[in-house]
Amino acid sequence: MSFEDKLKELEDIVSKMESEQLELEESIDLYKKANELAKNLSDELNNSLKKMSFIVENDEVKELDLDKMDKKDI
Amino acid sequence: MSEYLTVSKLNQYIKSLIESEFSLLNVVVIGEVSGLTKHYTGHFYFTLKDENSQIKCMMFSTYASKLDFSLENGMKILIKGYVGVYDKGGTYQLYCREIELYGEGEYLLKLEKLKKKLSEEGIFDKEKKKIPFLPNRIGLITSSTGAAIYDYISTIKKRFNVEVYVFPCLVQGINAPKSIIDAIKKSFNYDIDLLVITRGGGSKEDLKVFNDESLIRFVSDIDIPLISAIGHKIDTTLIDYVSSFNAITPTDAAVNSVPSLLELKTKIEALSKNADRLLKRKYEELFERLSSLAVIIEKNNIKNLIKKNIDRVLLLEKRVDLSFKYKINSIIKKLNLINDKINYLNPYNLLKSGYGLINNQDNKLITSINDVYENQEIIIDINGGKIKAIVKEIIK
Repeated sequence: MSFEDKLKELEDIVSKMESEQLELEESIDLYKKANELAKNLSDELNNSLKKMSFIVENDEVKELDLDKMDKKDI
Repeated sequence: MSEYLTVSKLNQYIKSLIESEFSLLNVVVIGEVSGLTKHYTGHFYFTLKDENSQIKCMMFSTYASKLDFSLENGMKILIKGYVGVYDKGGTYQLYCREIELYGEGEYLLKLEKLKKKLSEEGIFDKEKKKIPFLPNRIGLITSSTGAAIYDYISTIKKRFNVEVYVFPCLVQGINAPKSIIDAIKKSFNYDIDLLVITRGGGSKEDLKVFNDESLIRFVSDIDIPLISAIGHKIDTTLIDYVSSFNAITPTDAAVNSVPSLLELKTKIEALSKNADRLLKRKYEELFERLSSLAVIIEKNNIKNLIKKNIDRVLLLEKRVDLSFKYKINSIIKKLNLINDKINYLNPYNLLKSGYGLINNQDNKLITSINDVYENQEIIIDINGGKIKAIVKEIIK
């Protein structure tokens, strides 16, 4: 499931909890699901910090280090 | 020649001199249009000028009607024509047979024609691919040297760090369109789900690359959403008509490529808190409902009601005249009768007479033989307790 789908599901669950007359058991189930989704999404956000950038030259993929880029060029 | 000339004669003489000059019969002149008048007869009158000088020009309607563009002041044009004299006004002027746009003007005209052609073919009407909410891997198509890579990636890192693969290409010169197409083709092998073509600023001349017909046709056919960030707002290029989104600068392209991590974090936290609050509210709501139900049960308990009524009647009895005693007694009898009936109807009172109630494992009352199966565990309520039993045989 994509990040967007998960976020959408979390929004839907919370609005369902908000608007509908639910049984207590159902509320608890939804709450558990919401908690799990929120944790999952937060983990994904935190994981993004580790992502890298690359440059593909002559079919070779090299890591791109912005700090080492020649600033005179840019 | 006589001692004097009339004005007409002099002008006619000058006219014959100028108009017999071979080198003025066919001239090609470039300059800028000013003071243009389009006469209702269809003739055009204007002045052609450069930095230092100017010349009056006119174009007869027969020629003017053949122009394939609208002549306007400020245009740089190339005129093919001849020099003649308008003797009534004593002025010499350039008579235009043909006018073409010159330099940038010519380029813009060609561009306009290409735009019309592609538009008529429906190239610009193709459905634009939707930019993903959060791309997994972005392909950046740009020059390997230049601020674009730095601006783009540093903004992505600040906003929401996703993988960016850079596919370097030429962004100016006649080989650039092919180089860009090759870079995009290469990106197809790397699971890219969003493409960004950017170039940073630059002169108008450089923008020509992004108006290239083969490039536009290629981009209009690709299945991956594409953001173009070619120039600044005023410089629209044809690639903008086939891309999913037109950004102004590489930084702007990055802002439109990914959502803001900070905003998402805040949103997720808010949703999570909301879920906490709503569950808590649910508990409170249920507790309130139970409390009010308890009150209602207490209030509406029929036995209590009857007892209360009896109490009230007894109380009244003490207060009223003895002559009413008989009536009151009959009311009390009636109320007691109702009380007895209620007791009689209570199924549990039947148990005292030796009846039993058979329940299934879930403690639901079994009311038909069809709800029972062999070896089923059943619970029988009888007076004084319960019996757990196993069904041995079913006889219908």
